[in-house]
Amino acid sequence: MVSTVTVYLWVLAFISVFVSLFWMIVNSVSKQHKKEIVVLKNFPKVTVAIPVWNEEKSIISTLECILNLDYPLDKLEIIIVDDKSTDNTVGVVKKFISKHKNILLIEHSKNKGKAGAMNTALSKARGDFFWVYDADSYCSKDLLKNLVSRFYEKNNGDVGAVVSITLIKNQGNVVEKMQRLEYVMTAFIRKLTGTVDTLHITNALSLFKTQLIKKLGGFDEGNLTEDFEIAMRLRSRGYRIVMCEKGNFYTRIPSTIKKMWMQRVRWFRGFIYNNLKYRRMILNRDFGLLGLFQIPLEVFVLITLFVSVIILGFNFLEEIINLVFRVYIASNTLFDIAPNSTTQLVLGLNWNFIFPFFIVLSTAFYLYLEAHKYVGEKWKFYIPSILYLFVYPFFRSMQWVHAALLESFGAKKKW
Amino acid sequence: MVNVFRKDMLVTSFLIALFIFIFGFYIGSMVDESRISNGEELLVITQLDTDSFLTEKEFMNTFEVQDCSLLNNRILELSNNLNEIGKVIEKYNVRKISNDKLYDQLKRKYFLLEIRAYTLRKQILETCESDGSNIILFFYDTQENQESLNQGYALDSVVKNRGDVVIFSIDGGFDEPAVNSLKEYYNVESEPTIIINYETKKEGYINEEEITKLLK
Repeated sequence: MVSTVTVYLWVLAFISVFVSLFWMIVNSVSKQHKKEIVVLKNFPKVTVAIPVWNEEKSIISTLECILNLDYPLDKLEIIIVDDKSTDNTVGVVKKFISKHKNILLIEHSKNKGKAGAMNTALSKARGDFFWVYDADSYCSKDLLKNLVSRFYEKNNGDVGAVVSITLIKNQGNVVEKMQRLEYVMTAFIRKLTGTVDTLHITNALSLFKTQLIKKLGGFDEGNLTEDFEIAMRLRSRGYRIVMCEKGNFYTRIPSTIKKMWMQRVRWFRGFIYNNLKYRRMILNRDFGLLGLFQIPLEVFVLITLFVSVIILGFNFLEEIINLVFRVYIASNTLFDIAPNSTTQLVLGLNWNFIFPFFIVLSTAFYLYLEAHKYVGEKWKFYIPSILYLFVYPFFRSMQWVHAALLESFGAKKKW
Repeated sequence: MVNVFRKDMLVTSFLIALFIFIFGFYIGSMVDESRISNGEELLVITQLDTDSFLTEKEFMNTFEVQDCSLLNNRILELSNNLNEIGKVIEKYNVRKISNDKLYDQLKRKYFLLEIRAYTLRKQILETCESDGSNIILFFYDTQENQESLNQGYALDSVVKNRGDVVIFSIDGGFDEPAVNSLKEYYNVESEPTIIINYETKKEGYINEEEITKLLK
């Protein structure tokens, strides 16, 4: 009889291959479709909302980046909301805006969090579109123009938000390089989900329809991932989210494992919370492929992560115990290699594991290469790639477990 | 961008994934068949060695030529070979995905050869003086029995450190009349159990030091 762990791995491998193949087909079909290019004749007014908290070092370069955008300045309304910074952010901003008319600074008397700051900006917004701009990010000059133009494409009347390709600013150490790969993959996956209309997440530089967001009640204050929540709310009300494939924005990412861990745990807590909040969408025909495939798949991945941690962790523990016993009982035989023939060595390999692992790795590797091609970055196989492919998934599982535990025990939400 | 999704994309992906996995199972069963034929090949060679040994023994008995040193050496070699083959077959058995019956037949053949070698060794001891080597009959349990695993490690270590010990390993849970007779003879009720030099029975895990004390 084949062991339960083997059957579990086969099922997991089958689903992984099935999903990877689906995305491969989607990728290939989408390449054959011509993309519509809309040239803006009249530029609509855009409110750029910049929530800030202790950003004295980065805010000026952010503002300069916005002012240098390939977009008419008189069509930009910049609202900076200081969320009770404890450094000199306000002083630095005040000095800068004294020379610029279209920048407004609002100071919170107490810290309300990012969503609170965005809601403050939203209440003052007069633009047709509302652009959330993280203070530690910068973008390519053409990004805003491209984001806006997507709203004007044929059949895009029901689009509520446009998201852009996120890449990373700091790529110094191994932790950052590893995340770079994750961002590249994420951008590609978002492109693919956008292609089949299952995109249901927004990011740091997403563009929204101002009136629509106001009508929906603004951003959810107290939510750990308000950007994901607003995306789910838009989708649950029948609005679409599309991807802007021209122009990138660059964000700053955590540079230590601890900081990265805390950020991911916060994201994953937000994912769990918001999926539970919008659970009616799961397996709901009204939401098409999003409800019947995309969200269930994500929930399935989450569940399998837990089960994998338990099953494989238990198995791993068993192996460790075995090894400890072996070292204790017969350390002298530890490195003994049975004098088998090559045939016996090949036949003795665990093909039950090797075959599905090879297939899953091959499909993942293909998508990984395609992702690099998509964002226009050169692919190279180096230590961070190995860590990302083989070590990071284990950490990710642990982060999910951590997030689920915090969420189920109702731990205090920290940003 | 236009929504490019079509239902046939899901169907196609599913079918290709299914094809890959059916192909995988096909490869798996081919590997299983190769394992079985490799195991059988190994056993055929051992069977021939056993037959050759028996023929030689019969010849010596009939023509009253007694070469105990030769007999001792041959049975020792045969037993050691069997021990190595046992490890290979057990490894194959753990990795199998199909052909349960054929694997059982392979194990059966193997255990019968082991019992035969064990018995022959006993017969030689009755007519020849012992060459000083030790024989350990080891009953183990394959069902996630940590004690059996640990006993296996301890025995491997004894074999490596002493060099004059031969192990005959028998799956105590294997349904074969000859195995049952052996268990009944030694009154083996649980695994792991070891029988040292046909006489001393020890149930439960016994460490290397204790085993060494009981050896010649």
